[in-house]
Amino acid sequence: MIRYIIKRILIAIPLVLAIVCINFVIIHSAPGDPVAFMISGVENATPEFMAMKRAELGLDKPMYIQLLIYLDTILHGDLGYSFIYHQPVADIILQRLQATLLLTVTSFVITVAVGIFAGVSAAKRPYSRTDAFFTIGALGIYSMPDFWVGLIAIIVFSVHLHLTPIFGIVDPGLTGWDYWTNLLWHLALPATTLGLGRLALYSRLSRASMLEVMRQDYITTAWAKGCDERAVFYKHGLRNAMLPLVTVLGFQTSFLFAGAVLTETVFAWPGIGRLLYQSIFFRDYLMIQSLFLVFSILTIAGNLLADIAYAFLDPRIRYK
Amino acid sequence: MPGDPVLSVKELKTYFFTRKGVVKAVDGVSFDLHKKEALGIVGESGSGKSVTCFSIMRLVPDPPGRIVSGEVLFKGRDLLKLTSAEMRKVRGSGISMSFQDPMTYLNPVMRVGDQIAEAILLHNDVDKQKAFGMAVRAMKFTEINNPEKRAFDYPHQLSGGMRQRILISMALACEPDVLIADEPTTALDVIVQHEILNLLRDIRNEISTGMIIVSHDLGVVAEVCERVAVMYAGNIVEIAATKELFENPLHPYTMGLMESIPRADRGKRRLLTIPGAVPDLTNPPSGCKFHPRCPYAVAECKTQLPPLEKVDGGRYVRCMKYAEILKMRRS
Amino acid sequence: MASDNLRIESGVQKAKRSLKVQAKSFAEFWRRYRKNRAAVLGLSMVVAFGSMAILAPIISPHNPFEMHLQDFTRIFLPPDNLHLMGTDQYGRDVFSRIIWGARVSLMVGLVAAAISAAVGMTLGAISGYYGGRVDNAIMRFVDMFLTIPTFFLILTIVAIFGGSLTNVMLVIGLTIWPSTARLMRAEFLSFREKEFVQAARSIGAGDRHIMFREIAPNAIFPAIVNASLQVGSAILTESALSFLGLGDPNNVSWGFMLNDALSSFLRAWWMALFPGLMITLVVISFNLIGDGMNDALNPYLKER
Repeated sequence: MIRYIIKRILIAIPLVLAIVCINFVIIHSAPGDPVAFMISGVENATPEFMAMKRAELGLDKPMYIQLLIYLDTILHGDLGYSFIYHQPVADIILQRLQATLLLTVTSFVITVAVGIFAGVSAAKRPYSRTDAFFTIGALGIYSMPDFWVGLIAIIVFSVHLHLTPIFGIVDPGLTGWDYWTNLLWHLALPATTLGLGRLALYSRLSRASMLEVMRQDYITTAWAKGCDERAVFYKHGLRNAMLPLVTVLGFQTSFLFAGAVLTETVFAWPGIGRLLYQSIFFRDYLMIQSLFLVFSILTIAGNLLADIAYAFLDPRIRYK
Repeated sequence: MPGDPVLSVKELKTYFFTRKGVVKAVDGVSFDLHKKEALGIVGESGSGKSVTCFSIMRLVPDPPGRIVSGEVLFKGRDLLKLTSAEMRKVRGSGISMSFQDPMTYLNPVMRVGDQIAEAILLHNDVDKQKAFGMAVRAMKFTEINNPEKRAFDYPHQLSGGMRQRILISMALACEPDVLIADEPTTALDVIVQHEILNLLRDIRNEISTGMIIVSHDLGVVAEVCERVAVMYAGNIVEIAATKELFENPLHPYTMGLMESIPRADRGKRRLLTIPGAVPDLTNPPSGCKFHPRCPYAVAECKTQLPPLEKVDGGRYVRCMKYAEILKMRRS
Repeated sequence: MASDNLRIESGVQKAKRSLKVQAKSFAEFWRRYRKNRAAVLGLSMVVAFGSMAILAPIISPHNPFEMHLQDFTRIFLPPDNLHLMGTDQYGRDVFSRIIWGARVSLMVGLVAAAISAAVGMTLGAISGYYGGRVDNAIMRFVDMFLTIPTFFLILTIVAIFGGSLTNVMLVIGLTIWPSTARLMRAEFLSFREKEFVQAARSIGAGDRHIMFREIAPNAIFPAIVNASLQVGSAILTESALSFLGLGDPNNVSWGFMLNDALSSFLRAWWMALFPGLMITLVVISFNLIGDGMNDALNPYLKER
């Protein structure tokens, strides 16, 4: 299994490098001066700074050398400097990363837990009326744009029902227990709407997976041994149905972060997703690119984690 | 083998209610099984032999199948009248079953030792460790090498033969009174088949469990069983001691089967096939279900289903004309 | 030469026969599709939205671009008889904008899916048919594409190269083709060894003939189902991009309307409700069509 994990990590690394190269290609094929893409808020930059950057990046050297310089810069964690925020870009991103991770991880947990629960319950009574109802409902939810759900949710829950706050992550000036409860209160709606579309998809998938597993022969063996319904369904059924679901989870991570961008924009959640929205608004190309890199790395990391989790769950991988 | 039968099936009928019609998979099957006895059930696919076994275990999937009538007497109780909870207690410990394809019938994510131990834990009041120890012992009984280590393996790490042994030890773990083995050798290659057959013979000799071996392969059944029941289209058409069945089959279908298999004791002959095809079970032939393919059929055969008649001690035939046929052949 | 004549004749005959077979199987397929109420509903919805898009200039009650800035009597009007869905912050009639918005959404969805289908089907067919090194190379490429987060790639490219409709359609189309390629490859792989292909090869049919005339008519169905579902996801992607401000401000797009709504939705709920609702309905209809086609093609899966 260690070999499997190492292999996966080894695949991930060239992927990250490939993304950095894509970034590089974009910078140099876009219209305009490449330096403008390396500095945020180019209007505020001093000419000396621009000249210095130009020399640093070796913009007068051949392309492949520029690429190597660029790779080197990125690998040292230098994502550039922003004249809009007056901070290195890497710092800006790091400050906001926590909020995004909080949102995405919470949403992920909700999606998986509720999705599996809904799917398994549906599999217990397949082709019944409630099942058909939920399948249709899932299709409807899955077709909704993520961000729209957020908007409507705010209108319904915050404005009309006053159940949840409208914007932001936490009210200022709170400490201790109050801080955490306030945070959770703010987190509730965004975390739920972020996952909704994928939750619908996930519950359909887990239902399908459960139904597929329950048709397998080893379920018959379990009944023949004298197992009761609970043991057959959970110990033999769900335990096997989980495997394809974990594979799908890896694939879901990219949608998770894409959705985070949209949700953070709707709820004014101070994470890197909202940062991306603002960068688009300000035409801050450097920030857009850097965030592309960061989100890509996050997605690849998520995929990797899912692969590793799968290796733990499937003994056919764990033991040769 | 004297004494009361440990399992007694009487006029069992299991039908499947599908959109295309009612499939009469098992249409009045009766037989007895005694302790320490190995009974073989042979027949082509679709003859109803597997469904009979699933019916005894009450594992027939409820839509679309249903046990319509009959009795299955096990140690005095009619299994068909038990509640689900009571039947669960019987499954695995009173009567247990092993299956055809050992790869698909074992849970791929559980260690084999745990799977056997699960059966033990369900029916015995012991702790996990003790159950695992008992599982290892069951594996030893089915002649698995190095069972203490093998118990920690997963099904995909074992060979086909070993997996089949695991299934059998799972079935024997709680020392059942009846073991039903459904096609125990079909999914295995020839050399391994031989080993499993030896194993089954050893089991038959060592413990008092009654065995039912189901197979479409007459050779398999001949190696292990003392009595054989031949099934056709949902009915048993002949039951006899193995030797008798092979040397002197009474039912035309059995005769046809014997002519169609290569036999070392008969020298080189042409293998004959039975003309016609297996009947459609949603619309079976009237009267005796074999009559369209039977070379000896007469008008009566089309109108009534012959009963399973006793010939002599332990021998039964479902044919109205068997005595005449026998005379015809002897002359 | 005689053998050439034989080949040509068989080719023509085969084409005729395969067209007849295709026509017959299409009629079969249509019959099964029609039985599925949800699928028919999806199709009618798409037809309705399509008509709405085409007839936009005629049926739209107001000019969707007509602004009334600073005129406080005409901005942020809730739905009423004159403005069925109210007006936005510039006094534009929401209902008219909804009708015109159908054009952008449908066009982007269909074109992007078409591009994805063209690229994906070709690469998948080549990969599946030829196998070996070609297959490996293409599949490596596909795998790489699948692990790169496509949404962010699209976003970055559109942000930097501009959000014109052409750009958006191209970029989306060129990033979602991998799933189609995979499907097509699987189909070609399985069909490659079937008897009728061997038969065709034995009478001398060339690779291109086999790929286009023999395998493709059979293999194409899952890819078409996939394409239908991709229209839906392309529409969602376009609306997400417009929502973030990356769309084309000169065109009316439902996603862009939601971007407008972002700053004003607290007092004008109608600005948020209707565009999103329309997106949802269009995506649902394409999903229903996709599911319906899938069920019509695999009738045996449904009957247990």
